Amino acid sequence: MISADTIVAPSTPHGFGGLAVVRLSGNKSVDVVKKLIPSTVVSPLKNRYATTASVVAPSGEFFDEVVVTYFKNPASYTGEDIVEISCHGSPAVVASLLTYCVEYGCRMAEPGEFTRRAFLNGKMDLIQAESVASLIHSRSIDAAKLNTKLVRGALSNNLNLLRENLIKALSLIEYELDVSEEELSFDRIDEGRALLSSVKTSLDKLLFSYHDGRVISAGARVVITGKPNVGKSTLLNVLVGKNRAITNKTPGTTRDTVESHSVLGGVPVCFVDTAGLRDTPDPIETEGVGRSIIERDNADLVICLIDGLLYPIDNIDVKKLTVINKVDVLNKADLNIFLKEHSDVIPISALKEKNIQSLRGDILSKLLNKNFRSSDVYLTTKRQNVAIGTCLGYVNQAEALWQSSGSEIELIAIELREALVSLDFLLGPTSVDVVLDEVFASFCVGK
Amino acid sequence: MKHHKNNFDIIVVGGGHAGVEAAHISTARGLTVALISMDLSALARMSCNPAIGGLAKGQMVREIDILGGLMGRATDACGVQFKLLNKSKGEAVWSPRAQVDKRKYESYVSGLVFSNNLLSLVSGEVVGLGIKNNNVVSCVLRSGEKIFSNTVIITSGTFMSGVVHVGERKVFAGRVGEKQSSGLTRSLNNIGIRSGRLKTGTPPRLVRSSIDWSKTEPVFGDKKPTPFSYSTTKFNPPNRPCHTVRTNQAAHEIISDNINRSPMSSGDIKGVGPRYCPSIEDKISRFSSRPSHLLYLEPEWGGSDQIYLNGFSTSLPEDVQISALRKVSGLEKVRFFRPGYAIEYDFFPPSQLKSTLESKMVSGLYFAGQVNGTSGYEEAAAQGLLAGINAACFVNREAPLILTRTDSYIGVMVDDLITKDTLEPYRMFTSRAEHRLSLRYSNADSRLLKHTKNYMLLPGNIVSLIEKKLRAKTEALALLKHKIKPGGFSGETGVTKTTSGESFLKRPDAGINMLPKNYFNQLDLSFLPDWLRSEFFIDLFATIKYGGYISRQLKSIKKNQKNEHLTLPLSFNYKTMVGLSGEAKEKLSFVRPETLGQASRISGVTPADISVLLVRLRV
Repeated sequence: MISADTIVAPSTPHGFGGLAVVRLSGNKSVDVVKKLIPSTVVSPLKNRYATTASVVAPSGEFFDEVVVTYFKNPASYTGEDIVEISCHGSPAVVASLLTYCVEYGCRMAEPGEFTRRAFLNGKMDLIQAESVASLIHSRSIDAAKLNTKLVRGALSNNLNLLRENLIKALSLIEYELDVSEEELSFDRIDEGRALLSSVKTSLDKLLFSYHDGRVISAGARVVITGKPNVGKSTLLNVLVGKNRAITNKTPGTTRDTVESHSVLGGVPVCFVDTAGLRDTPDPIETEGVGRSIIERDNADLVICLIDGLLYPIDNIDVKKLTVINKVDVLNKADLNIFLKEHSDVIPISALKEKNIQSLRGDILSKLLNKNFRSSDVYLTTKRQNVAIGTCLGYVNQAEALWQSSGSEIELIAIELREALVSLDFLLGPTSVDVVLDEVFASFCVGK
Repeated sequence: MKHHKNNFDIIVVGGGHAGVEAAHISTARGLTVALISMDLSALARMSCNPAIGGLAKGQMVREIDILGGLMGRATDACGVQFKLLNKSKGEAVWSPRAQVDKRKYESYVSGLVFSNNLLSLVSGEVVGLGIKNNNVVSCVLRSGEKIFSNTVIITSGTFMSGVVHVGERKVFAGRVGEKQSSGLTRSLNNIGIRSGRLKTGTPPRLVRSSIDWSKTEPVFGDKKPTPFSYSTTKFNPPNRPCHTVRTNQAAHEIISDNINRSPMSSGDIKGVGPRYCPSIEDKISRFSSRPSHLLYLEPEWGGSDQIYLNGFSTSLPEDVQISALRKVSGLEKVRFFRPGYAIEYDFFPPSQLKSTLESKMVSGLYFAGQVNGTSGYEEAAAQGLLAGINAACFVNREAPLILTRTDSYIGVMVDDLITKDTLEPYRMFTSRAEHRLSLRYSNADSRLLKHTKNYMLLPGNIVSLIEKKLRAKTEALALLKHKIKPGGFSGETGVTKTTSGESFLKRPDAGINMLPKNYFNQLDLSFLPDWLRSEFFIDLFATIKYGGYISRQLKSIKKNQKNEHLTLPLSFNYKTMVGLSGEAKEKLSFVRPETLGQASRISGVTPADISVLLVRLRV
C-alpha cells in the first residue's frame, strides 16, 4: 500500500489563525519527522497518538512547538503512513515547515493527491473521492451534509444495491443458459423480471434526483434580468442582505455582471445582477448587455423583473420567474386586475423590502424538484448522471426484450451486462466471476 | 532432431485427455514424442461421468476438432446418445452433448496412440525434471532412468500427491485403484514453481441388476443427432436412454444425520472443491428447502453392469451412502461396485503460465489439464491440444498459436486461467465468454480455420470441405439480399411489404424454413454430409439474427483491441512503479501478465492502474 514518493501539503487554508496543519503521507513520513523533530528518534511516534514536540530548523535552532499525530498504514486516510503536524497558524511558519519537509525528502503534493492516493489504495471509491472535493467546497450546511453522506458512501451503497439486483437478475438468466437444461430444473426466470423493474424504479429515482443534487451540491445561479432601471440591483442587494451592487436612478448604472453568494433554504445560490437590456450606443454598456444574455442562457433560474403593468408576459417557463417590482407606487386596483390575469407574476417592492421572503420561497421551489431531505440519496455530478442514464437505457432494452419473447434470454443477458458496465464508471468493474458467484450461491448447480 | 532411444523432440508426462491430445498433435506435426504414463492401460480414461460435451463444453469440443484434436472424432465413434442442449434458447447457446461408452472411447483413442509410429510409450513415474539455464532438458523417472528432451508437457492430472477420501477412510492414490505420484510436485517446487491444493469428487457406481428400472424415468437423446467432428460423414449412432430417479426427505435425513462423518466437515479435506459440482451432502445442507434432487443413472459402457450415479458425488462413508440411497424409489435394493469418493490433489496455479501454456519461468516446459486447476475432459483436452501445438512450434522455432477471448472458448479459458486466481477447479461456462453470441458450436470452423491451415492441423480434404462450406455461406448471405414479395413466403408470416430474406429473418418468430421454397436454389450444398447441411442453415440464421448485436460487440472489441495486445515486459518492476495501487503492485508482480489486456483482467487491478501502465509503456 505504499507509493514511492512521500508528499507534504498544508491542510488548512492560507492565512493567519491559531493553528495550521501540515500533513505528510508516504513511506518516508516518519523518517522525515525524525529529522524535523529529533525527539521522535528517541521516543518514536505512537500510532494514533498526539504528541507535543519541538521542531528544530536545519540550522539546529528551535523553530516551533507543535503537536504531531501519527496514523500508521493502512489505517489512515490515504492508506499510507500519515503524520499531521499542528503548528502555529502563520503563513511564514507553514512555509518554513514545508521547506524543511521538502529538504528532508518530501515532495509537495499536487492538488487532490491525498484523496487520489486514498482512492488508489482502495480506501474509497470514485464517488466518495469525488465527494471529498465537493465537501471541501460546500457553501451551505445542507450541501456539506449531502457531500458528507456521499463521502460516507450513501450513493455508493445505493448503487451497490442496485448493482446487486442487476447481478441477481443476470444470474437467473445465466443459470438458465449455463445450467438448467442439464439438470431439468425448474424455471425461476420470472423472478428476474421483477428484479429488473425494481432496478428500473431505482434508476428513475436517481435520475430524477440529479437536478436537485446538482443544485444543492454545486449551487445554483439565479440571474436577474430586465429593462434598465427596473430595480435589479436593489433586488440583488435585498436578496443577499448586503449592499453589493451600486444602485442609482440613472438607467444603465449596472454595466458588468455582479455576483453575490447567499444560502437559500440550504441551497447555495449565486445571485447575478446584470446590465439592463436595451440598445445603446455606449460600447461598454453594449458589452454588458451581451454578458447579460450569456448569463441568462446559463442560469438555473432567471428572475425576469418588470416594473409596470404594460409588459407583455411570456409563456410560463420552468427556468423563469416573472417578478413585478415597485408595487408600492402602482395603482392598487390596476395591480389587482393585472395579478388576477397573471397569477404566476410575483409582486414585490425591493426598495420597501415587501414580499421578499415569499419571493425567496418561490425561488427555492423553482430551483428544486421536491423538498430537499438530507436523508435522501442524490446524484450530484454530470458523470454520475450520464452513467445512470446509460444504465437505464440498457435496462429498458432488456425489459423490452423480456416482454417481446421468452426465448431470447441470451440477448437480455447482453443488455444486462452492458447495464453493469455502465456502472463501472462509478463503482469499478464487475467481473463475470461475481455473476457466477451469484449463480452458485442461489442455485443448486451441478448434477 | 535425431531420434535416439532416450532422446525425443517432445516428452508428454501423463496419458489422460490432455496428454493424448498433446502427444497426438505433436506427432501430426512430424515430431517424435515420448508419452510417459504410470499405467499405459489407462490412456484417455474417462474417470468420471460417461458424457462428453454439454453447455459450453460442446462448443469447446468443436474447437478441439477443428484444431486437429481427437476428442470430437472419438466421441462420434463411441457415443451412445446425442443431444443438442438449450434448443429452447437462442442458437448461440446451443451445445451438443453425448453419452459415451467409456470403454470403447478409451480403446478407440488408445488404438490411435498405439499405432502412431512417431510416438513412444514409456511406462513409469516422472519424479523430477532436469533444468539447465532455465531450460528443461530431461525427465527423471522413479527408476532413475533419464529421458531427454528440451520440450516437456506436464499433464499428470489428479495424480500429484492424490489423497482419496471415503468417509473417515483415507487412501493415497491417483484415482481409485491407481497409484499416486508424489515426487514431481517437490521437484517443481524446488525450481520455484508454486503449487496449491484442490478437491473434486465422484459419485458411487451401482450394480445394474440391483436397480428396479420400472421405477425410473427414461431420458432419450435427439432423434436427429448432432455429431462433434467435421470429419464425420455418415452418422447413425444409437440412442440409448439414461434414467432418472429422485432423492427424498428420508434420504436427506440420513445424510444430514451423518454429515459430521464427512471429511469435508471434519476438516480432514483442506483442498477447495468446485461449487458447480457440489457433493450431495453440500446440496442438502445449502439448499435445505429443496425437497428432492434429481439423480441420473448413466450406463458406463455397452452392456455395462456398472451404472454411474450422476448427481450423487459424495465423500460420506460407504454405509451412509448405501442407506441414504436405499430410501430412494427404484434403489431400495441398490448395491455398489464402489462408493463415491473425494480426491485431493496438487495443482500448479496457472497464472504462472504464458498464454501458450508454457511456464513463464522455465522455457520449453508446458502445463495442461487438471494440473492447471481445471476440471472436465473437454477443458483438459483443449489445453493438451494447445500445449501440444505450441510445444511443436517451440521445437520448430515457429510463432506460437495464441487463442483469444474473441475467437474461441479455449481462448477464454486460457485467458481466465492465466489472469484469475484459481480458487476452485475451473470449468467452462458460456457466461464466462463475453462474446458468446459469436462463439457458437456451429461456427467453430469459420472462427479457427486460419489456425488449422497455418499450423497444418487437419488433413487437406477436411480443410477444403470447410473452405467450400464457408464460401457457400458467403454466397448464401448474398442470396439473402434478394427481395421476397409478401405472398412468396412459405406459410403464414404476416409480411405485408416486399422485403429481403435478411431483413425478414431479423424479425422475431421468423425462421429459415419460412423463406420461399426455391430461395436458395442456386446454392450447391451437395458436397456436405447431411448433418452439416442442416447445421449450415442453423448457423446462417444465427449469423443474421445476432448480426446487429455482434457488430455492436465488434465495435467494442476494436475499441479495446488497441491496448489489448500491448506487450508488457516480463521484467517490469511493478513494486517500484509510482501511481499503482498497493494491491495492483502485488498482483501484477505475482502474475507478470504478458499484455495490457491480461493485466486489465487481473482482479484487484483497476482502470486507474491500467492508465499508469499505459503511461509507462508510452514513456
